Amino acid sequence: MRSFDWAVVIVYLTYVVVDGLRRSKGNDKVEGYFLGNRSLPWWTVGLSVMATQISAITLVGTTGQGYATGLRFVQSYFGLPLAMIILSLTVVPFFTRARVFTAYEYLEQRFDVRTRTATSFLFLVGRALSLGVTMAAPAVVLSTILDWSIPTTVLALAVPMVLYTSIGGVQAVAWTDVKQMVIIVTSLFAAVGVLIYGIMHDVGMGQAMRIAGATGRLTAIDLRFDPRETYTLWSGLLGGLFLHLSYFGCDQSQVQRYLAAKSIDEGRHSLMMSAFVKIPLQLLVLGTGALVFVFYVFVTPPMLFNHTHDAQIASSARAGEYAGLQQQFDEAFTARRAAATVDDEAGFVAADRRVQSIRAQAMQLVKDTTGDARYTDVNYVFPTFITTMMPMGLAGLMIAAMFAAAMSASSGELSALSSATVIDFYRRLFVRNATDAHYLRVSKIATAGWGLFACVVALYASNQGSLIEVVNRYGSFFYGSILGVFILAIMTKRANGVGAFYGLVAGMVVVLTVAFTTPIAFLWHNLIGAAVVFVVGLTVSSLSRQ
Amino acid sequence: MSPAPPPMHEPGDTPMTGRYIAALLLEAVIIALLYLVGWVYR
Repeated sequence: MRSFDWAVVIVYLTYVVVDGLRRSKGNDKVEGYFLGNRSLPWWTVGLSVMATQISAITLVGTTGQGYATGLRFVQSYFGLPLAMIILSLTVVPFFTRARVFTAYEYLEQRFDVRTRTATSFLFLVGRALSLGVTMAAPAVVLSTILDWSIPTTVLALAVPMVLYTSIGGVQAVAWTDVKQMVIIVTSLFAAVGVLIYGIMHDVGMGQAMRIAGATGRLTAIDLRFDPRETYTLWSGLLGGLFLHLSYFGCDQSQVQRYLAAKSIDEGRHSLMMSAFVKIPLQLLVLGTGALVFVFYVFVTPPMLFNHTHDAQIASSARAGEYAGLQQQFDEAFTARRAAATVDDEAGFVAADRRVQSIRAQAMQLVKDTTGDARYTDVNYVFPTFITTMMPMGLAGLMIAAMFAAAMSASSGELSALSSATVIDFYRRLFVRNATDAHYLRVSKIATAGWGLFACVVALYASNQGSLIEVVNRYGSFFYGSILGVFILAIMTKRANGVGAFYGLVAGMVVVLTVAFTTPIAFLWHNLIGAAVVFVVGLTVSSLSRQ
Repeated sequence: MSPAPPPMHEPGDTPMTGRYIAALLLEAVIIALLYLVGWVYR
């Protein structure tokens, strides 16, 4: 990183904090703090919803997945457009007309306080853990790239974000999200431009496509119906539908945003923005990763992108063995580049297998030598490209985008955690008749408190494996079951509070059992959880009435 | 506790059927194109 790149990052961080704090006006009441006085335009809400989903995990992990396996991860978003339509027809009008602050508040109106408290508690547990992971992902990678310690990096990400979120509330979150989306998308297009320019130096785009295709990176659609496979068309359409129904319909970090919209129509428009834009945006991110792969066919990449253990390997007894692998890697890379240059597909595929095999051996050597069984470099591919290949200024923009993505994803979650804590627990169960000013003060303290908690979790989560899946797994344990309760509330007249509560418990137990005892891929857990809650909930409701 | 859910649609809500169909059609086109690209460059 050069001085000008640092200047870009510092200017960006300062601007975000100042602009976020400026948005705190009108936040003298709890409704202003958590829901922006229900006055935000649809495009602000829509961009804010998408900014929350594009976490730094998306930029780092998803480009890494694009590099390693290609476009197939996009299938997990195929259920999203239908989910947005269903939610526009159901929960958007329900929640908005009910004038609730949280999604779970509606469950008390429909069922009872026990069901509301249980679902809100599950949200708090799941979201608090995932918020820590959301912050850990960029912290781990940025700490390596910037040569900072992990605690320093976590604080650099968390302090500005907690500051503007705790003071400015949801208005600060939404309006900074808009700017963060602009910087994220701009920097992605800049990266694609740099990649295409670099690739065209060696081959045409047609040949670049053949290179990516020969290694399976352009095979996005998997038609096999195998529940053990994580990403297939069917797991994306069905499992993904239930995942996105749960996430956008029952997760306060999303619901809070469209509750802040001016009207039901504006709330619906904001969700439909994701229905149109999300899949193309994911393809842009994954495609960037696939382009990085093609780029590194012609430009020598490091054997392993994650240099965390370099010093330890160099001073270990197996340093010579590692150096031997490096030499083999260089030879295999040269052979692969030669085959790619003359468009020799069979030779290229064989050489690429050799490159991947040497990389796997090197990775195993690092694991064996350091004892770090979770060692991987998938999250380091794109940041390595940014810091070593992007021109001055654009590298700073990309790092600023990673900060932006980390903060936009975390700030919405933080505000949602605070709203559920204060509205569903503090105001409902403990202090019921205080002034609005009191609740506002408590809300700000709760936001800052959750920020501190997330920092602690981030420090613990910083040595997790594939971060993106860790986050999704945390979510899947809870999401499907919570969705089942909302389906009972919205789609049936026969369900009651007793049925909803015991259905929720049954759903959780079944999902945990399935997750730990079967090979069924995690996207299906949402469908299973929702189905169990629905069936058990209706059955118990019928029995309890007799 | 409310015994039944509220109505999904009320007078004054803007119908968005066209938008819903357009979103699904766009997705179908994207899936078809991705399949085609994967098949051509397999």
